[in-house]
Amino acid sequence: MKLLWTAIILMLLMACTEKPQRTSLFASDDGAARQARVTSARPMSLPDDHTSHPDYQLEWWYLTFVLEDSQERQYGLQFTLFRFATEQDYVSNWSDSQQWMGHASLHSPDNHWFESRFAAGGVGNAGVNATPFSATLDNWQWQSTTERPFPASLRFTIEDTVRVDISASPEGPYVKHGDNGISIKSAGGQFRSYYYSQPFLSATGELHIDEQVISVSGKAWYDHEWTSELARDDALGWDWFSIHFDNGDKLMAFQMHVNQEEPYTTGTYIKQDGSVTTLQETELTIRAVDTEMINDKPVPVKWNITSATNNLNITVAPFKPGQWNPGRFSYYEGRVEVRGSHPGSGFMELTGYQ
Amino acid sequence: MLNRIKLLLLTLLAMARRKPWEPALIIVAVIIATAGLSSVWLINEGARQGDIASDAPSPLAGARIVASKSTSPLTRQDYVAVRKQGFTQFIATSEDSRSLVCTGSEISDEPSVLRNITLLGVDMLAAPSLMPSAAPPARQRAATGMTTFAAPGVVADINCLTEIERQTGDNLAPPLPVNGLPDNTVIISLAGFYTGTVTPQSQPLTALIAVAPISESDAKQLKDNLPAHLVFEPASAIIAKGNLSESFRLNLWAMGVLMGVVALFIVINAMLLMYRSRLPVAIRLRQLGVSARLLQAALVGELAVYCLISTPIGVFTGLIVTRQLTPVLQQTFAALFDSAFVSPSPFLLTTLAGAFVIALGALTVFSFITARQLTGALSVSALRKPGPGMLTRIILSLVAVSTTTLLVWLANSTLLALISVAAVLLAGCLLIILWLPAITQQLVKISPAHKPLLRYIIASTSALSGKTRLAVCAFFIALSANIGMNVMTDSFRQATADWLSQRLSAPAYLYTEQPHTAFENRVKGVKLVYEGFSNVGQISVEIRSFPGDDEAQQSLALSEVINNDTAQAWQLFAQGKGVFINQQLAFREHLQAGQNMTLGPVFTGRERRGSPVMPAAAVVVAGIYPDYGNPSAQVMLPISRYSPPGGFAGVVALYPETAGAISQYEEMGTVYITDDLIDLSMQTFDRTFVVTDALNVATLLVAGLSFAISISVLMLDIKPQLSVLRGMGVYQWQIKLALLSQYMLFCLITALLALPFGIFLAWVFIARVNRYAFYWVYTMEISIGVLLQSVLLSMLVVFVVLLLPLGRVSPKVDLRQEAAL
Amino acid sequence: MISIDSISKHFEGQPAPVLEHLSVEVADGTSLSIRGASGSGKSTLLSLIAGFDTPDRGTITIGRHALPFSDSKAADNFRRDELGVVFQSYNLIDCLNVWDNIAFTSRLKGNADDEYQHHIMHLLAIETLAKKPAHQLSGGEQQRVAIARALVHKPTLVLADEPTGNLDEATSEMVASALYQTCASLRTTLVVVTHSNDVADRANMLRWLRHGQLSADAPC
Repeated sequence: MKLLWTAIILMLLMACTEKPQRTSLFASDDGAARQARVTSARPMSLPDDHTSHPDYQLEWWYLTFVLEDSQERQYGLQFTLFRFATEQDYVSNWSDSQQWMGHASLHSPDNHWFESRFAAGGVGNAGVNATPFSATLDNWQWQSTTERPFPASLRFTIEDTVRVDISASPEGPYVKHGDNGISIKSAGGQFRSYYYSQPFLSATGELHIDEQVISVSGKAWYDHEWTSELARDDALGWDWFSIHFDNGDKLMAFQMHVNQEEPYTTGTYIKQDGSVTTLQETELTIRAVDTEMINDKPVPVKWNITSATNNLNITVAPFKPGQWNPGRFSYYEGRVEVRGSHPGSGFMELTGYQ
Repeated sequence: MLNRIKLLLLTLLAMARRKPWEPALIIVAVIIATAGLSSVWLINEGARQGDIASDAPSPLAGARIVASKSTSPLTRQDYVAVRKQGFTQFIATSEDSRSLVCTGSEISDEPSVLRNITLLGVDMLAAPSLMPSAAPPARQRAATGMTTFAAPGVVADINCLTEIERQTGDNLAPPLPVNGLPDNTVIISLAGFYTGTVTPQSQPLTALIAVAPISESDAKQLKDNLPAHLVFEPASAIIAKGNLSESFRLNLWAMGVLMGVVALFIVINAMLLMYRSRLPVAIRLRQLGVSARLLQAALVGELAVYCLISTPIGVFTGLIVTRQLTPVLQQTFAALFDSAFVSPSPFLLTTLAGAFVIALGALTVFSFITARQLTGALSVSALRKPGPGMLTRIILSLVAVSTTTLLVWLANSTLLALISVAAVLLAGCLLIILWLPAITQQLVKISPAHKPLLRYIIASTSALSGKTRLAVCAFFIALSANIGMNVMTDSFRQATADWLSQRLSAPAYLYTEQPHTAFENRVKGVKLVYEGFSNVGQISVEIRSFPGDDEAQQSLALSEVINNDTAQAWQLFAQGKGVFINQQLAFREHLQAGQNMTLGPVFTGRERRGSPVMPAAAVVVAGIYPDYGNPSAQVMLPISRYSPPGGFAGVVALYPETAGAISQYEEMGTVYITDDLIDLSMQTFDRTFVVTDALNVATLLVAGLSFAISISVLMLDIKPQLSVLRGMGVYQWQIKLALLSQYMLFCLITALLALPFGIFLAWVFIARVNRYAFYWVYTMEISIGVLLQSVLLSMLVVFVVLLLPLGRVSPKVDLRQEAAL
Repeated sequence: MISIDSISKHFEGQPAPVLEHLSVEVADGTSLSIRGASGSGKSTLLSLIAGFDTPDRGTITIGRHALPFSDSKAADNFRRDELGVVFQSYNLIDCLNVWDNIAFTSRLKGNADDEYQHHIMHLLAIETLAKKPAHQLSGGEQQRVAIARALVHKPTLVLADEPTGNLDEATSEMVASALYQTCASLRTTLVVVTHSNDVADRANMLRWLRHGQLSADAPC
């Protein structure tokens, strides 16, 4: 009898330990139907499409850097500008209906600095300019000299402790993913976006951390994506990988998690000469092999990616633990090391694990 | 060993069963203590969660950038430039003081104007930590009208259930309560603020406010980079202000501690009584070979049983009382203290466990003290010990009195003042313990010898005073505190009523939205009131205008004037060379009449905004006036010197030549007859003290009850003596009267001794606690009625409680009596 | 004169009556001692004589008073004016001193006489204890104070229930002497209930209580 009571009490005390629910990062019930759609009737056109697309609900300009200093210490740097189109049922004389969010993150082997900022559109302190291309949020400045995002210089601060001053230059072509830039992310095709990258960026610059100035150099990867079809509750998150192989090739691998559907895998293999192979779902396998506890929840941080194309069989693992971006929108974003058939380094982004 | 303890424990519990009233007193006392302290802790927790008495300044009170001239306003471009320079802690704000109209409230469906409410637009997106939001920015949208926020007190004042209309701009939704927001302000996003015909051009930005601290070096860099038309103003430090909410919490804790102390005395007394009656059995047990340690362990085990019974009851009672009081507290906090009261949800297991551990710990400590005699005695003859000698008593009394006097004299902070209150009560207790038997023995000596029953009554009272000292102490503490609180509250009430009657010298007052120019043609019969905002040192001060004519002089009582010359003080004031300051400012800044002080730049309205209308200046303090209940420091300026157009407070004192002449003002706003205003104020006053008054009376009732119960228990001990009296031919009714008389005499003597302490305590509350907690004092008024009320109430409680056991006393003569010790 | 005429007393739950048709007469100024085994009804007999209890049958006459009384006031007045009781456990009033304890009965009756009180205290050798608090006295002293209290108001009758029951032999001797001599000198009728032969043998009349009856014969 005593044993039974003990068991009952223990059960009650344990409470239900829920498996982490996947949640939708940008889900909104703000009537996605009213925003512009991703359709082949409106193909992607560069350089015009480097700028902002206010008719679409979500958009981001995403930069990730794998850097090293003179002592070969590794750094992972991220700079992202997000745009959200909001449903405003009033006309404001102060701002437009766009809202801008910036994320800046720097990982050294021992530290992490992260800052998140917001600004209203139409005020003047945030936005993307087409010619010359610039992306701004307060004193975060990404400035190009042409209508293309690169070559460009970036200057931004993180937490008033870090100041980044870095330049990025292209060494290869822009790459459109999917079908001429229309990236399908689910089996039924209801989740899609316009998506292109510039994976061939070399970067060089300085990190000012407290009183220290660290010269760094390395590679960078640029993504620009816009859509109205990811801002829905059914879109539960994704696992995204951008990898610079040591042999000069690049890989973008992507796994979309949709409510009540199997994860959908897609990818792009980019050879060093710029030729592009789209990897369909059957041609790419992305499988989690190990997890890390972050905020008391398991997050899969070690992956095995295989593809018969190019005989790819790689293991992707973070270069340090705890690469989590906190804040109102929180997600995993971190530098990774790649081993296996195609060694290299890159970045990994995991959303929906919160 | 365990078996022996178990055997002893069962023996003790068997003894308890025979005289259940003895442990019952302990259980009741523990229940009262845990219930009282639980509810006080829960109420204060609810207040804390409601952010009451937070000393943190409003997030919108930081450093700011403003336009230096109204001709070159602060623009959107200025804002962008500041943020692009990296000063991202600055967020843009804009104010609109034009009236808002609630289209429907709880009271009426008719639209009503929301007086003195400022609409403040804030770039909330740039400082998301300001506003509560778990949703992405896109989701901040209200069902009807634009989302707005306000402090809980403002939400309660506005009391609007439907849309709020602006004179220009889109409609607003009723505000959501958020703690820490400024008074009289409704907050909206800047995007929502600038709608309709409200544009950044028609209504420029008011200020860029820093919502995070800015370092000195950054401030310097900012100032160097600002364009000429903008100025940087550092944040003003906000000194923690005493306000009614702090008063409430202070009172509450004081009452909680009082209840705890009273319960402490009751418990010790109950334990002493119980152990005293068990003494014969204890001696037998010791004589049979039970060790003192074993007996002590069994006693602690017995106490643990009582704690297991009483602490859950006490905690649940406290919880229920708090839950019952929550609606009242929520209303009180919102309406009076401008803050929220969050119904506390204690983690029950922790609270119960904590209460049990604390209660058992306390009782264990007490048992070591009170059961010393019980566990140590091996024979009866060792028990009777004489009390302290006269010299010892005098020395102890002198030490107690001098220590207390020193503490009271030296108290220069709220904490020390409260400690001195405790010292007064404890010193009083000690004096009671030392001198009460002696006083009553003197009474025996002067009692007429030819009245044997009377002499017996007085002698028995004297003996009683030696046996039930702790119950007396509990009663004394409760009664002294009750007298002190009543005298203090009564004095405060009288002072407030007098002060209001004096200050509200006009027959009526008009509250209006009209600009001051509407009264330009009505020079006779009206006096306008102007308000403003400034600082003295680090302290924010309210500015008020005050006339200098003869009538005005009658309506402002000055507690201190320059060179003790009232005429000189008013002369200086009228000439604009001197100012009057309130007690709050005088105490905080240690200012006296005649001293110089520097008054910072004066701004119109209620907060520092825009450009100052008067520069900083050195002024002399011409006089100091009482300003009861005002949490803020205040400076009065002569109306001849301070009557800026933007500073009109919307209040006009009316001096109509005829009663009918008031009606001409009714179309200009709301007219309040002064007598009605005073009545309303006094009602508010009384409401504030309702809860603490209730606790006060409850403590007194508890103490009176325990006092009476202790006596009832002792009554059992003297049954043989009553039997003897009957045997000697004393009538039954004479015995009952004798018993009642001795107990009421005892009660009366204690009450009379409590009177001077209670009055002294009232003085300490006023001149020390209030002085250092809230920076103002008032005259103590001693009303015989108030004193009598406390004494008579306490005696009534004891009388009523005693009626039952006295009614049952029916001493029969029994030749074979048990030996009394 | 005390005249007890055929009184009986039966307590519920007991198989036999405690007292059955008991009769005795005691002349004024004399002393009667009653002996008996424990539980024989000695204290019950005293209670009936004192008017603390009423017999089931029979009458008791003490001087001009006929018991049982018609009302409690009459009983109280009788106890106040005519009776002095010495209890087995002394039952002094703790909060009064010796003088006030003794004077209580005479003050109650209204015939307080300091000189008389001094005389009685002298007879009982307790004059020096006048100011002492009652609870500070030894057993023998307390009993002598109790005796003084029982006599000071000049009662008609003194009842003593085991007056030496709680005392040692030497103190018993002293107290018994004091009791009998003081009563004799004041010509106060004395009825003593005791199991002590030494105390009982000093009385003018010796009786044994057996089977609810008083007998002049000692038991075998």
